[in-house]
Amino acid sequence: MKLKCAAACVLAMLILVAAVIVAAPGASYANQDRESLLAPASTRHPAGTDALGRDRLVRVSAALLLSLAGSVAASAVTTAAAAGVGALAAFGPATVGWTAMLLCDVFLALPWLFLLMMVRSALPLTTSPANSAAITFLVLAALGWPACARAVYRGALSLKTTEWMLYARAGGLRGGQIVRSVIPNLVPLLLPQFLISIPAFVMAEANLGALGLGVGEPLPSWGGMLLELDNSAMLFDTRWVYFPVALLVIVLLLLEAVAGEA
Amino acid sequence: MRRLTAVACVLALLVAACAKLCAAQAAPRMPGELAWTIGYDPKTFDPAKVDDQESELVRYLTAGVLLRFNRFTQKIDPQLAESWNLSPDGKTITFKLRPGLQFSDGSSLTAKDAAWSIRHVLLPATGAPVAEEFLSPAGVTVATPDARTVVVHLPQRVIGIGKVFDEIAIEPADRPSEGRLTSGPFVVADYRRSQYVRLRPNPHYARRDATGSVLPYARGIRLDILENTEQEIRLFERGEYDVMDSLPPDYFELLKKKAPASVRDLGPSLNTEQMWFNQSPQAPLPAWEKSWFQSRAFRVAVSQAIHRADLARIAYLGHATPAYTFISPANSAWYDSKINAPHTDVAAAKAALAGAGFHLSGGMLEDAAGHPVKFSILTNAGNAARLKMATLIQQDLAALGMQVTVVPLDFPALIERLMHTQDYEACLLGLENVDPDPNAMMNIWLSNSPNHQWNPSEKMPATSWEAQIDLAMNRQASSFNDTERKQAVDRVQQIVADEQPFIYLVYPNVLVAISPRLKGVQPAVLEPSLVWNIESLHLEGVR
Amino acid sequence: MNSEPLLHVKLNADYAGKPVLRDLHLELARGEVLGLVGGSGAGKSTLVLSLLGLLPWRGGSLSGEVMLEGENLLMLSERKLRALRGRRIALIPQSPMSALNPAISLQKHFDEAWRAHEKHAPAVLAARVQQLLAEMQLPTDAEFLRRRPAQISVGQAQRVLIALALLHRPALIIADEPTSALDPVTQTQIVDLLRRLNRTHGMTLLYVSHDLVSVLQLSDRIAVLHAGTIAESLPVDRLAEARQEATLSLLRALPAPPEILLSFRKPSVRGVHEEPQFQNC
Repeated sequence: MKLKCAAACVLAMLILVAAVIVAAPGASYANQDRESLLAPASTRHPAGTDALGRDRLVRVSAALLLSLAGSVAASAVTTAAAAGVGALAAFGPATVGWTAMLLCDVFLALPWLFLLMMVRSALPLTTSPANSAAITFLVLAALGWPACARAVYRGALSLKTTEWMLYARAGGLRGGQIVRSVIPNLVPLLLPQFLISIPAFVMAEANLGALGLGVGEPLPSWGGMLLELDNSAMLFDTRWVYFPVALLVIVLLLLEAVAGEA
Repeated sequence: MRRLTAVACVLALLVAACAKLCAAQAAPRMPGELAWTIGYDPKTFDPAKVDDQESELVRYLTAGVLLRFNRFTQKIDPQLAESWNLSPDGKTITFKLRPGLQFSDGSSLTAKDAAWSIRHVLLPATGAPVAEEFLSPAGVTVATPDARTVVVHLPQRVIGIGKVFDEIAIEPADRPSEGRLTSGPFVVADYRRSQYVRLRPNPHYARRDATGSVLPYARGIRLDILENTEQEIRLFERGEYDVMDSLPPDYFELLKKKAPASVRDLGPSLNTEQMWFNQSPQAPLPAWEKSWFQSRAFRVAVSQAIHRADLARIAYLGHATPAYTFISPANSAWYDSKINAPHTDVAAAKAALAGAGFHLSGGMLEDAAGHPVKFSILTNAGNAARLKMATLIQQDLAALGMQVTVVPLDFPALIERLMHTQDYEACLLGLENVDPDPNAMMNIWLSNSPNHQWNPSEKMPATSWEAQIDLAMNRQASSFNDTERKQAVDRVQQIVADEQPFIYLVYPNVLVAISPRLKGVQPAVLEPSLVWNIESLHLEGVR
Repeated sequence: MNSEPLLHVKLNADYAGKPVLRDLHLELARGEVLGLVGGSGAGKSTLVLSLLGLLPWRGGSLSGEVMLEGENLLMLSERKLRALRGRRIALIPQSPMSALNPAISLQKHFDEAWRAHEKHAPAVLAARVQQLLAEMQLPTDAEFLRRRPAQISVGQAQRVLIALALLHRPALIIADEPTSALDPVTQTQIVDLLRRLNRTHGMTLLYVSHDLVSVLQLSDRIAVLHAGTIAESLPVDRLAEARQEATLSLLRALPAPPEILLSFRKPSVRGVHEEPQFQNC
């Protein structure tokens, strides 16, 4: 519990610092300082610059904010969808439940990487980087719900046979009233699902970015920055290349700590 | 557990990168053997069927040819032929073979074998890609008046016909052997799928060096199949490989720090990197966008706004040369330094746009009708230099108020848009030029060609300048006079510079690494740039 | 006086393909407290679910008739049946802690139970809840109502459940082993409470238990359920006439003879029985 609080505090601090860095006057994640490429740390660029002379600190901060905002939003969408589908499947007629779970299985079996590539190539080319980032997270959310829905379904099914549920029926409660009374009971199930999904989405976006399918230039993303690590020539040039990946590991650990033991 | 898995993913990336480096291991080298890498398995060892780069290299190293296009002097040298002669109408070629030629098994090589080999590649059943260079292969006749003379008669004149024979391997008549029986310096000895190709010297190779020593010097060649540049560099540093060509600029710089004596920047290649706007009237784009892209002022302004020096310096770490036309300075015969092309001049670009009715509105450029100037530049995903160039251009054009999106697409998706749907606004790609003769670029410049990228397969030239390009290109193709051909090509270059259908960006430099132990290397810009004189290459102390 | 019994049951029930209740006959007069006794596995729970029409939810099937106030519950649609549950026939469940929804407040429990059958303004409900809580000797303040089930004692939970059962003044209350999860002191308090309710409101009670001692404390009549059928049914003051082995073995297991236990009863419940006053009618 203590660990969780501490992790949440550190995470909040990181977000605050990142927000300040990004919002600072003159800070730009896209501006190319063409005279200082792959520069080491300096007062102007505290974490150096990347291969195009863009400030690494601002880019990492913006990536942090972007990926967290996207992941939290995607997580919320996923969890809400999963709650809806899971509850419907558990309390609806048997055929609905059966169909919903079949749908989940189909979704889980989908070649999601291929699907993402298809969605990305179907987007209009002039889709702005911000929009394509939003769409990327939306697609991730659309692909993330089935696993979560299964968990909700199992949880709701076990609730269905509880004493209080039978008692609620004995009290003559309407079907709608019963489902509504179940939802607060799903919160202990949904909250961890929500929290666990966040680091999963951060990771998924980073992986997509490393495949060139994530957030587009000039918006910064973890994936794009991780790609630099694939280039040993660059590693030789500046140690600051490790900065984004180090921060990503820290953020993931913090997110997992917040989600853990919930 | 969950916490571990997420972090494990990141660590796995790092570990994989390390493992990739540590696992590098080359096959043991035989004494006196030269070794380097090729990127993939050659698709074929049959010299007639060669259609990919690695197969072509194997053919270059093994095949005996009548004429060799010298990669260094860019002139034609007779090889199996002692002399050759082209009739004044350009339709009859007569080769005189050297006396006493032998195949690698010791059997003699006569005009009969040469004629069979030429006829063999001309047959439609063979499916030899080189056949189409004869323009109408069915009409070609080959005669052998005596055992050392071959006469080839063409139904129509072919520009640069001599070079075509550089690609025709002379094989024993009716005994094609897929490189196991050759008349060139080497013979295919061993091939292990996705591991290596081994070549052994041809013991009956006729040529001698100036002192009369047997050629080739090398005791063999091993081509390791390896596509990973990092591993290749690691092994090169350890002395496992003797040469590396087409090094990416960042690896070139890395290697320069570790082994400064081995790397060489050979200057601009024949290749160009360019961007262009889609001018096709069939493109599914809004009418106003098409009118921008068809406007000369718009294209010239974009060209003037691009800082090519920055592209070369940043995207290629200085290992590229700003480009303004399609003939690279490396092309000694055809380069024209007097082409007048728009250079970087942001103020002039702004003025040109204002003159064409464009104006700024809240920092955003708008056309006369008030449409904001937004467009996307496609490029192929996975090419770091192109992505960087596109991102730099994005900022350069932002200075004009244009909002550019950079879209990296996988190659098939890119080609689908370029060639079929025409659904794109601008594209940034490179063009590889293997042949210095501009006649090889006919398919790009003729307005009715499907490879006329900015507006493919025009029924009639869409503009007067495209009609002029057609005219000039056809003139260089039909002229017998080299000066007249050069003038025609210069004319095309000037029209392209004025109209900017292709906005040339840079010529990437040829970056190579040569082991100090390797002797006899004479680097050339043309492929195979380091081993074009393979007969004369050898390791220090082994001869 | 209405001579027709409040509840008349003639029932066969199958559960997972096995017959559980066989030709079970049962009658309850208005204002009567019937103690239904039986060992575990005798079919007590099945009977309770059957009377509420809830057996199908647990996968069982029924045949016969359950006549409540002249209406056969087995013939009613689920919609009509729902409208009866909680309003005309209410349940006091066995384990108070697991019968309350752990995620919602006590107030919310009353709200939902009220809304299931009533559209009246919340003010009516508030007054009714206050009255019931007072009657159940529970705190009546808002703070108590805001609590979650986990924040009250087991005894309080059972009183809340009784209050909930009384909310719509049902004609029949089924108490399914309401004391089995409680400590002896609380058990006595709950039995007293039920007895008082029967006396003051003339509430008809089907008291289901395996514990004959508590049954004797409360009931006018006992029915012994054995192997899915009623083995014997007797008024508590005529237990000496018991002939069936099932009854006799129950009586033998008592810590003291039934006469002695009966003498410890609080002032007679039968007084009410003899001069029926049905406030509900």
